[in-house]
Amino acid sequence: MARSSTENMITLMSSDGEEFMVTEKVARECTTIRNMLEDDCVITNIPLPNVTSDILSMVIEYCMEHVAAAEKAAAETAEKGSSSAPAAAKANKDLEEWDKAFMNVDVYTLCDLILAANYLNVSGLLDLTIQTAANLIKGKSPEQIRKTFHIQNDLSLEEEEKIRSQTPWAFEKSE
Amino acid sequence: MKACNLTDDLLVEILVRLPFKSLCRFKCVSKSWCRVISDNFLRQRLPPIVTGLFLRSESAQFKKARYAYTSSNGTVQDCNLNFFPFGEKSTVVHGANGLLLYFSSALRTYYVVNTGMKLWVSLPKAQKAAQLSMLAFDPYSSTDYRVVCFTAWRAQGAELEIYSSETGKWDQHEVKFGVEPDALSSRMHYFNSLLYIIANPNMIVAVNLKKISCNLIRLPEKINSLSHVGHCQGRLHYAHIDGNKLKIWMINYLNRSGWELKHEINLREII
Repeated sequence: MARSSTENMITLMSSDGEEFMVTEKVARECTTIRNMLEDDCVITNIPLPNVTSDILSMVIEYCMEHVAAAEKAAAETAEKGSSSAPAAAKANKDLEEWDKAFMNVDVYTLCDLILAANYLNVSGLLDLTIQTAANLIKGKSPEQIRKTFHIQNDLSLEEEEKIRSQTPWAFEKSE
Repeated sequence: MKACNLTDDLLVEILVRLPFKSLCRFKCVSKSWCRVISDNFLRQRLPPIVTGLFLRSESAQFKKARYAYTSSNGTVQDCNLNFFPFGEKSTVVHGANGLLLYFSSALRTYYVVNTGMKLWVSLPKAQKAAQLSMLAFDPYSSTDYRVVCFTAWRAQGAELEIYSSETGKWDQHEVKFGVEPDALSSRMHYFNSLLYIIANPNMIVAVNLKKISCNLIRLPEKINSLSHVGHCQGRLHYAHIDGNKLKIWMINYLNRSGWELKHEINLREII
């Protein structure tokens, strides 16, 4: 298998002009980039005008971690002839822990990561960020949602009262 | 100040992972959240849920009407209907999404029973006797219900007396189906203000209960005694059993026939 020195390197360029060198394997975690590479195999420099450098570096960090975990699992299987179930379960759990720690971000970063994961089409990261956002807002009140996302309440008092009266049980405290 | 500029489709991706209760509450966040949550697109993404199952058994042990419902952990529970005092003096006419419609012919009174919250209400007396009555209740679109009574048949139409829980009153209406009343079957389904009635030979009559207007939808095949109409994830479905084959179609206006065959199952293989 091709390793570091012989592996193709790809340069990703963020909206603010910062360049990130990554292996092709890491870049291929982004379906959007994988499709570009498959359409034109000599491409080495990809501008990403929708992603800022701080968000792009996080997406790359996520992809690198997940590629490394997959490679480690593949290497262990090759070495022992078969993967041991407890080792695979532990590796999965470690990766889950890593994902959880990775999601320890403020709500703006989370929104930007959702947008970037959607644009770059990183299905694992999109699922992780969407689920994190869902968990974050699940038990909140409408007031807390507005505060969290800085949303202006443009409903009139009557409109809000009407919505509340449709499902009064949804506004009771117990979740 | 930074803001979260999530697109509507990404917001929907988050919202579909929330409990139904949160969604009802979040309609209050802003006009755009209300629009997204009310949107039919979100409704299409919601998982199908079974709320209840009405059982009537002739065996001595279970002479009385029983109602079972699926709880949140997926098990089926028997619901005790003893809280409703007129249960034995009236008959179940129809049921929809957790509500049951009872009619007492002695008292000429309709009762609507909420099996989940164990509440019941007796409706004011209707003006006319009904040939056929049904309960129109779709909790996804509104918490209000209607009781629809067909009081007299007319050429290609009928007279209706409709009770609305919103106004608390019965109102008289006349509706034109576009087919003779003889063609109508008693198999009906209500969804989002529309009452769908299966009609011979291959029609669905869709009655808009808000506007009191009718639409005809042509079915992909002739109906039979095992035809059913329903909704799944926001779209109209039609099913029937033809010999050993269970066929389920989904409405799709992009197809020339207006329908798309979604499943075709040989019943011999599953029973």
